[in-house]
Amino acid sequence: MAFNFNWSPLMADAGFYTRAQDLLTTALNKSPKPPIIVDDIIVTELNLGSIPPELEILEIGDLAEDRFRGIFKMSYAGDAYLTLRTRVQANPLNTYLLTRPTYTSPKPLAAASGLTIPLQITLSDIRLSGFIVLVFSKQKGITVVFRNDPLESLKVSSTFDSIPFVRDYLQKEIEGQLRILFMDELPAVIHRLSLRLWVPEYRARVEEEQKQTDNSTFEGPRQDPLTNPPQDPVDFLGNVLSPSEIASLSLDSAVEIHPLFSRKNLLRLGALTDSQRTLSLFTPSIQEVVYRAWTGLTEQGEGTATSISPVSPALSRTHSHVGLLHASLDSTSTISSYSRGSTSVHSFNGYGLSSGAGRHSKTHARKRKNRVVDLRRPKTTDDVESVSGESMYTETDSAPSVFSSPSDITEDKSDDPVTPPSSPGKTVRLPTIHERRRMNVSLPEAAGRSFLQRTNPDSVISEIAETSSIMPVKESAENSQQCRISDPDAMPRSSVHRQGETSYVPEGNGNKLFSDSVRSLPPSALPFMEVSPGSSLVESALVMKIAGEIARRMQEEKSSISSHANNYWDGRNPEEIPPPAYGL
Amino acid sequence: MLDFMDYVQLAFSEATSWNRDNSYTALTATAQSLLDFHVPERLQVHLSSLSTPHFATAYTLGTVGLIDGSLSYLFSTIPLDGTPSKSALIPLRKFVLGYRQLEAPIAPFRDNGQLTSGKHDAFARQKASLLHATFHLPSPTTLTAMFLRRLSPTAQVSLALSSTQGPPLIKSAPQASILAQLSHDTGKYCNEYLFSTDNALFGWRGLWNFGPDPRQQRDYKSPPRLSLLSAGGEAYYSPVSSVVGLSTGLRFTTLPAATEGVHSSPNHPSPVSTFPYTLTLTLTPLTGSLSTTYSLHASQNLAFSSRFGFNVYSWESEIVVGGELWRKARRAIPPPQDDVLEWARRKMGLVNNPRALASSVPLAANASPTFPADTGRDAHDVPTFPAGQEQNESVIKVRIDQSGNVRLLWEGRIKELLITAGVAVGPGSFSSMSSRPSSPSYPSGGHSAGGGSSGSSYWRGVGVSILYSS
Repeated sequence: MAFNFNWSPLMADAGFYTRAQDLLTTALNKSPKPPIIVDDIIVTELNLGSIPPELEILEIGDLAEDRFRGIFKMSYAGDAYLTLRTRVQANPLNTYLLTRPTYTSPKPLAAASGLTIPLQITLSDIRLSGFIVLVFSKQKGITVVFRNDPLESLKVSSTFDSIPFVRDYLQKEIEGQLRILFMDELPAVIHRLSLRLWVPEYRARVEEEQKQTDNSTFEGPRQDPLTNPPQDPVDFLGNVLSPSEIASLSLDSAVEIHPLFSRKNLLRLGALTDSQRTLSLFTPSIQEVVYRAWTGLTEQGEGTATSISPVSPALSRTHSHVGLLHASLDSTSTISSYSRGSTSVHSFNGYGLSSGAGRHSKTHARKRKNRVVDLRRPKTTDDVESVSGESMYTETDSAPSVFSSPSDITEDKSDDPVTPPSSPGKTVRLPTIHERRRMNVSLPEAAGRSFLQRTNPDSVISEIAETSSIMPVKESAENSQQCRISDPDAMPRSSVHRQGETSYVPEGNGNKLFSDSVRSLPPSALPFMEVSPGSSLVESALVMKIAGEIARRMQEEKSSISSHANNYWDGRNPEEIPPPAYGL
Repeated sequence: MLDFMDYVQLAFSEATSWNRDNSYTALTATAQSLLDFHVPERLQVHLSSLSTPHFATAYTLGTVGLIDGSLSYLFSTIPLDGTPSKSALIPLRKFVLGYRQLEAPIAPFRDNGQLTSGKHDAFARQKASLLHATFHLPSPTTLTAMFLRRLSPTAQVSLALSSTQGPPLIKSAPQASILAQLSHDTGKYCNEYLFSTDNALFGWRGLWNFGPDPRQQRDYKSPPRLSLLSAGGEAYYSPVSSVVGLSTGLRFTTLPAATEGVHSSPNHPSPVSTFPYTLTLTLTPLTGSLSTTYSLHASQNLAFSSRFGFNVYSWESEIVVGGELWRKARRAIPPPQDDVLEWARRKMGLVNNPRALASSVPLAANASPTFPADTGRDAHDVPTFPAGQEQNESVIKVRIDQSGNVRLLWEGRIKELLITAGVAVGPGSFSSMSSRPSSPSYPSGGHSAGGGSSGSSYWRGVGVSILYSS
């Protein structure tokens, strides 16, 4: 790997120096000057020299197309120089009295008469040496931080060089000022400049408001996720969709863009799913989410099929007015999905909204134009139900994608005959089961606690007890069982993002390597890292809204179910209790 | 125009017969009052009163842009009975600083122990003290206070305190500082010792008057002194911040006898001049600046002054010219109404004119016009102006410097209000010599915050100050 720094073009630009001089002059005169300086500070000469600084790469923590993080060791011993010109007050009594209230000033007759002296300062022989931490992100610009004080030495030559006292004083003062400049002001300036360069939103906002400097990656406040199309729509497999694909997904493309899911949201939700399915301690923090687990159904469905997951309610992302309709109309499919656990043969047929396998239910779903995401299924297929569903489905599915969605297809092979086998490169090997198990102890307790806070305690205390006692054991057992039954390497997991998205390793060849590297990572970096943790506030808000909508929909469905199909609920196993919710 | 509190303090020093002019600080007082006068920059209203002979209050409200104000109180242990405090009665010549005619220095004691001032009885009973505090209201609030005490007829101590609440503008400046000053004035020489808690600044000022020692027995037969030559110096040093300041000065001025001799005693041998004038020369050896002033009192109503400054190191120079013009009121004194027989006298030619009648009154009040020093520095003005016309005087001051900065000031009395209106225009170019940190002639306690220099505007400041006192 090599970096190419161009130092000389800086000097080749004829207008560069004059522009830089003007910038420096205005910057120096902007802040209130000390009283000893009685005139404007003018930058008369500026030269960056011909010797570039030496950079030594010590560490690169992160490298991607749009991101970079590294530590450099910089040393500079070039021939750059800078000349300033101003006028200073040479009478110390004058400057002393200028800053004092007149009431208690001694009010000298003439001893404070001023003597202004033109002063010319040349800064040369600048020696810098220090460690630079450089973080570049396309969304957050460049951040340059000096680990230590970079200024080693500096030669200050001025008009007062013949007077040693003044010379020493100037040397000391200017060195101090430069240290402050390097440590504090230079990073801020660079950051602001880079934001201007790379973040168009920031630029626009700076031009408009001239105010804020941060939080610039996404425009506007919270969007309504149900009325606006997502920023990065994906299909059910997590493949990023282009606008043309979106248009081809639906017949009436203009209207139906918005039910598409955002890729990041899906990643998050997938992580959420996995965290419940496994023993992982780590759950992505999605606020305002009520999380439910169906313990009873899990037990029921477990024995019959390997692919059985805790039956989860249908998650649909539709318009709210559609949703109202859906709440009542969709009850049949939801019910059928509920019943899938016991009758696993019909699972996909009954799971009408869920996958392309349910062709005969497609017409039914097509009218409603909604899609259902089942987060609970271990081999979740986030479904896109559309008119052209089948063809699109396969196309996008087979397309190799770098960013694997939370879903994994390989496991679906067994019970989803329609879904074509995905390439091995798509699946992602997560930390091994042992690791996950290790991390997964406190989830039920936390869930129970938060559940207590969120819902009516009277009605659910028993559920909590049940869930918290049963669930982890069951799930871990299930997971391990599944792991052994099927190919352990092909075990479906959600995507792993360890900061760099390039870290996906095809399971076939890089399995071992990958798991090793995963082991060496800190636990916080392990499974479910966000793509860009700091910058995704808006996405999290989106996810929160989606999840809140999901929860509300579930409630509605449940109530409608209980009202419409009382017999059904009555006829069910008395263990069939509403899933406990645990927030995150 | 003076502040009312400064006016009261002036009256206090007169009442305690402290000669303010015999100090190195006042060496160039004439030139400074003619050249460096302060122009109000906003609308300011002063309400003040000398409610009792011992107690005075003053309130100031200034506006335009920001509203600020101040409250001040003054307490004096000696009664200030003879001080006219109503704004309709305050003599403008005392209230407005102009050409300052010096008197021959006098000693507090005569050799035989006799007192020059009848006020010494007050000293004997108690040492006169003065307390003065001002609270400047807009944030950052500032409290300034002064304690002044006469220790002996030749010594006086003063403590000045300034305390600002809130962060200071300059980091190095402390929030509060005290300036202590001990003055010792013998007439022949005057020494002042200063100490400021701010950076532990020590200071010394001294003035030496050449000529016969006023403490010696004065020979009444000898002619009065015609001129006064004084030399002085000052030095400041702060061991903390290594601030050093040094200056020396020389002053030559005519005394009233020189010009009065022309008129009153024509047989006087050699009048120095037909008009009073003052010459000063100040040197600042450390920074190499040199300044000379020449002020002359052309007539009773006209005074001019000029200053030339030069710095031998930076070769910067400055020329300032200024002057003041006193205008008498057009309105003549109405003839005394009770004098019903005046027409008869006039007809008979017994009395020349009413002016002679009126002018006889202040002459009678001043028992000894030949020794006007007893009543203070401005005593010579009093007999020359009839009391009736003095109320309606006004003064115009103008100054201009080499870079075209012009200041114009009008001060006068309208009804019972003392009005000061001024305007300052000029390019306001950078001038080092004129950027004096503080001019002693303007003890403006708090209003150092001016909105004057605003960018490229040619107008530097316009303001009106209105004072009413009772």
